[in-house]
Amino acid sequence: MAISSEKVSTQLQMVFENGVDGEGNPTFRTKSFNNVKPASTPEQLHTVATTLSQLQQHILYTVERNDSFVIADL
Amino acid sequence: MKKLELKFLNEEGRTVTISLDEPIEPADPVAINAAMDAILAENCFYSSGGDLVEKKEARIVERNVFDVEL
Repeated sequence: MAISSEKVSTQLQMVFENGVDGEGNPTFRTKSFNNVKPASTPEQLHTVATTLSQLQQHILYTVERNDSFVIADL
Repeated sequence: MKKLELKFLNEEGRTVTISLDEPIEPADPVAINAAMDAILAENCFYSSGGDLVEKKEARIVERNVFDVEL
């Protein structure tokens, strides 16, 4: 039994600091991009996320990547 | 709430929009151009009509909501 695992989609998420809550803890807002090529490298995504973040008002807290894989029994 | 919309053309000549909330104002054409160039250079987005190949336009859009008394 051979199990294959194929990357089928990638999502880029930019997490922004979006003010503070009532107790002074930072709050965050996530902006997701779904139409990201699965073959994208971390360097490419980092470049895109940091350049995009310079166009808006909030501090970019983290850049995240979500990859989805389909696992199948061949 | 305002949005910055970056519009590109894909290989089929159709428009693909990448939008960001709460843009810096006034818009800086140099920075926006540079960001759009970087997106094209990195080429890590796709669309149903192929890769993004060209910058089309950029604009800031504001949505106003007024409740109507019923």
